[in-house]
Amino acid sequence: MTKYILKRLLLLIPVLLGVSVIVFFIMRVFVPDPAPLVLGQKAPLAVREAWRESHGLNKPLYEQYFSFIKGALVGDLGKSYETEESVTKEIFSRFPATIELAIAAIIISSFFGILIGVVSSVKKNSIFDNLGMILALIGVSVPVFWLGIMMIMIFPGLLHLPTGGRIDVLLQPKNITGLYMLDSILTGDLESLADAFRHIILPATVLGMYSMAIVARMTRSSMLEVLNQDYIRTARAKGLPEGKVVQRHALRNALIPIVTVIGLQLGALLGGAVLTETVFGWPGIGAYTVHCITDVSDFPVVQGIVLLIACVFVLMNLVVDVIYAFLDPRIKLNKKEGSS
Amino acid sequence: MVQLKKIVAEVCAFALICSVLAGCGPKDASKSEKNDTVIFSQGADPKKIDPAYASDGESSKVICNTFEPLVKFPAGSTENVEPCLAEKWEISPDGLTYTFSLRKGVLFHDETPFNADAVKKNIERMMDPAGEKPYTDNFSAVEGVTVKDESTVEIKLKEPYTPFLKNLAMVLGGAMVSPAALEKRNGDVSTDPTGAGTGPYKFKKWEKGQTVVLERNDKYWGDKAKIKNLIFKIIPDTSARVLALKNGDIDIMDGVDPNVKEQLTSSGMKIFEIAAQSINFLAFAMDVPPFDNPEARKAVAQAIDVKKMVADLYKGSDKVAHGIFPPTVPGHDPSIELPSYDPDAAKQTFSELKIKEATMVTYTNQRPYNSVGGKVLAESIQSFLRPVGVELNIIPLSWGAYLERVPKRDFSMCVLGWLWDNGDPHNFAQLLADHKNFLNNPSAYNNPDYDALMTKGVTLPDGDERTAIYKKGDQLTVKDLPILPISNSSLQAAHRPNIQGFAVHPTGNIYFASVSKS
Repeated sequence: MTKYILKRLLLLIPVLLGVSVIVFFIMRVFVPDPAPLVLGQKAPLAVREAWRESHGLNKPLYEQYFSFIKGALVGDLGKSYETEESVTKEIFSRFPATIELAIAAIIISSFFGILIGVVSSVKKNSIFDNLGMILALIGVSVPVFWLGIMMIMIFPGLLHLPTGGRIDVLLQPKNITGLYMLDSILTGDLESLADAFRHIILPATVLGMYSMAIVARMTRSSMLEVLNQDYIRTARAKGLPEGKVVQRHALRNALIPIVTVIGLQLGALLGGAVLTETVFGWPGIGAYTVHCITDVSDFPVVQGIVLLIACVFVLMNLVVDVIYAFLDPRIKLNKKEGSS
Repeated sequence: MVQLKKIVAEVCAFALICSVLAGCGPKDASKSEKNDTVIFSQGADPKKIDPAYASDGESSKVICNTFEPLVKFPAGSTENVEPCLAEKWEISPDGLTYTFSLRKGVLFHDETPFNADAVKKNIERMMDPAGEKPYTDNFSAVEGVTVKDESTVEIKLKEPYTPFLKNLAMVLGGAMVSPAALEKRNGDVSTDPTGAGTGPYKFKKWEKGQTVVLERNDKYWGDKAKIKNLIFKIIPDTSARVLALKNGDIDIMDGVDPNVKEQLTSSGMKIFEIAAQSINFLAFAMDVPPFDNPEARKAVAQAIDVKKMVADLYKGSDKVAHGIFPPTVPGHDPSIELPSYDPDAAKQTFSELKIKEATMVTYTNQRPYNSVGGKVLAESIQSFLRPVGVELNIIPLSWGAYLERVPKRDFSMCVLGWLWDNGDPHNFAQLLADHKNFLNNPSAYNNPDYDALMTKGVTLPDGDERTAIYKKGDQLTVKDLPILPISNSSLQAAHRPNIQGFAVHPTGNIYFASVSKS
């Protein structure tokens, strides 16, 4: 297992190199010159030229690429054009917000998705099944920005929930991990915990709706397949209560495709949710990436974020593969012991 | 059945935890803190909170509450300047020496004294070309700064430069930064302006993408701010900002466009509106056929019913532009006559000149001088040109791509605009005499008579003679039509009814010290 994990981690190197080449050249070729965007419409030409010079943008592209790679190898991704702060600092000041929202969304979507999927499959063709699948259909078809605006229009008035942001502007838990809810728990700050929770409910629900719909549909179809297996009939024939049949024999076996979907959804959510972040003013990396591409042409930050997202995806895939082995002992991750 | 009951129990438990946590409202202490807090929401983070390096409106709004210049614009106007960190000043008769008597006893927020040395360091910092400061040109006329004594400073210019005093009144470029803070932070306080200003509010913290928190400066030399906490909350989406205001999550919002105005007023929100010192215009590429021909430019002006277009697009909030100067800028001439709407004459000219199509590049986003965005404006122009036999091909581009495209000169028209940094006519008029930078002079307008007027205008002292120069310049542009002026925009913000003393300055800044909450 360790060897397998190490091998997969080594694969990160070619993936990151490939991604870095693509993002570096795409940014330089298709994204406009950052100088007038960073310095403003009113900056004199000489100032713009001096800025390009001091940021190495007058050098040949290959030289710029190698100096980026040289820096990246020692963990220096450069400085943001917009703020002149280190890219790592810029990214990691926003990434915890994305992680927190993604985790909350994935908890909501997994909990309700699996629940709806299981109930729909167990009570196939019943009203529960139809309602569950209608909800799933709504989840995949409703645009996130519309749902977000609707939620903001309806719920804050009804349940006194805030319309946006991560926490009340006057509250701030001590920064330990950057995840406000976790930090509030670690420092015992219940007021911040409650407030951070109130802030995350709506964006996490909106963001989780799409994933929930996919998880629900996947759970239903996977469960229906498993429920027709001989071993389920055997379990029932042995007189096991239906609950145990569903939970222990059917659900656990049906979980493999569901875990894959949840893992990939979490990977995608960790890449930032542009629309949800924009509508709810959630300060994550999704909306920030779009801002860096369209408003500033902030090459170093975009390169840094894309590399981070590539890492996240590779690692999420690895985690999913490792979870398979725990869910199904028949799957061996080491090739010598079996196929992966 | 047992299974279903278990599921129902699990869902109920989840809902219970959620409702308990969600029900925990703020405590009384934080409620009273809230009454002493004003939350202002804007669409984007400030870029740099350092007056020397910032160039965007979002940064400027934070800076003008924490930093102060030597002189300032009066409330609601840029007609003249009044004392701020300088109590009084004298300008030598030749217009070359400015002597400032500084206010005594002023402290920067880091408790270091504001004095003549600080002024010298700040102005020399702006004169230094290193560091690529956007407003360094405002100080290009300065020859040197001399400290006369602790509270007197003398600035010598190389040549008379009338806009200098108004340039000093601008917070961007002109505001004073604590030399001690600059020394501590390698000459740049953009990301951490703690202790660096003298203004009525002190910088407290900046959570990127979320909030900038300012706190009342209790040692302020003037009238103290009425509200203790001033918070800039970033909500990028306009609809979400509107809902947050209606819901009471924020007190004031920026970026009100004509589409949300009615929604806000119908729910009891108050709108503040002031004419901006701006010009929104169509620029002809005079260096490229067909609009190198003055008849063709005139025909476009005749084809467009500017009055109707402005009324339809901006729903009454923006006014039709007369000439290149907005009403509050000296040189504005309301009697100036642009070619009147005459589609028949335009059709005939285009037919004679055999012009059947034209290309227009435009930005797509909203700009402070064009709240509907460039693409919408371009489409409106297209709808006026089609009936007179000209098909306008629109090339919509993101702002960055647009700025890159304008110098390429592969189009026949573009739309652009300008928001005055200060009320001086030279601030915009000089741009049409710039023959190097197409972003300043997108028409490539080149008229030596106009250039000569600009050279003269910048040296004359404020007064009738100077105003007459800029009026002449305005008349020349109406005759040559390098640009077709379209509208003068308004600056709008909305606030909850319990907010008093709120105003947006014509420069776009918002000074919060006089804002209170009931």
